Amino acid sequence: MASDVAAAAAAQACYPPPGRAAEPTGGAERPAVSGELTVLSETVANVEFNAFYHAERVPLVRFVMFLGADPDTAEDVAQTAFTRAFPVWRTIRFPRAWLRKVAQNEYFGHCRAAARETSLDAAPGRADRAAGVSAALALEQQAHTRQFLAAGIAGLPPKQRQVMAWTWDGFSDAEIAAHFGDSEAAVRKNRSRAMKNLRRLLTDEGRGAK
Amino acid sequence: MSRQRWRISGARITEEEVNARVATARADIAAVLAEVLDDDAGLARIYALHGQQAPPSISDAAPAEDDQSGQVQAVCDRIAMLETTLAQAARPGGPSMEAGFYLSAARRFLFELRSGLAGRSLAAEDAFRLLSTVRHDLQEADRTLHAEQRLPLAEPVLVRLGELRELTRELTGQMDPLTEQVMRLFGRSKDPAVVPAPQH
Repeated sequence: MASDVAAAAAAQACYPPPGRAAEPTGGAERPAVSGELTVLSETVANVEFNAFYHAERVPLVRFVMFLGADPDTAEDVAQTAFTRAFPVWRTIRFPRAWLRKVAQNEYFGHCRAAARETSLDAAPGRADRAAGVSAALALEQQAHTRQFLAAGIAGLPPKQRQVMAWTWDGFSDAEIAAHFGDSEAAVRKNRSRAMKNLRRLLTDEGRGAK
Repeated sequence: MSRQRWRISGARITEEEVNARVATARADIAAVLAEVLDDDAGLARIYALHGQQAPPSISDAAPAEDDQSGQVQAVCDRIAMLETTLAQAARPGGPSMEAGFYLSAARRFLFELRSGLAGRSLAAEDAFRLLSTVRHDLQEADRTLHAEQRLPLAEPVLVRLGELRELTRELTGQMDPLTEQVMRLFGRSKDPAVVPAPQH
């Protein structure tokens, strides 16, 4: 687990790709290199975006699932976040954090919209949702994981879910605090409470299964 | 109700056990999602929404016999793109002969790197030496251009120097992600090695 977190932090340290150019300056008649620079920048941005998408799509979908979403919703939310990132890709300084923040807002927006029919805490992981993608079906075969999501994650208050989802993806207390607009102490407190709750919820789940 | 039951019956699972459950769940989910999600289709949807055509997938562009070849091919494609840009930037008749020399040298070393990776004939140390040399040449080109910008030259030449410098810095900025990709090929990142060390 610790190495997982360290690896995630190391991966984050690799981003953003440095050297993103400022807007070119020059006279009315632009030398050929301007066009070269523009084409290069766009091509590089697309190459980077594609590589990032391939590397981060699964972690982002998983992140949204740890916020409480079912696999279908998580996939939709992650895709929306990437879609929003695409046109502004070159301006995003910390893509992993940026994507997670957008995905988180998108997911809780989705929950608020669904609140007309159901409460926020009832929406994630609810069993009556038709599994529209094979991810949902396949995931159901992972009994331990399904139980962990249903009994553990779904039982946490939203704020604790958020803190744990960010923590498990390798973000430090300071980074989480900055993104939430909280203090580091508040992040630590939420994580401590979440861990205590998870221990209780998973213990209960284990006994209930017996 | 459940809290009361917990208090009565005693021992809860430990934090280490929770962490183990988390690690298992994360691995399970990642494995399942990697199986079922189609990245190429997802990318195509994003490009289409922004009125662009999605780039061909690695597997379409260069049918690889395995995933390792695909990763090597992706790195080689990236290097080839940088080479092409360098070739245009360093063409004869440019505003700075000395910078052109460094840019040409950087291109040659990139070509050497790409050939070695594609042929699986390059040791990790040689790959990193080439990357380091390319970075050095780009930095020297930038330093040269910066010095020439301070000379009393005609305005169009100064503009051209400035833009060439910007291009050089953009290319220099590509060296970190490229190095990371090459490190991954040789297993010097968190991922397993793709390119085995050549037998000498």
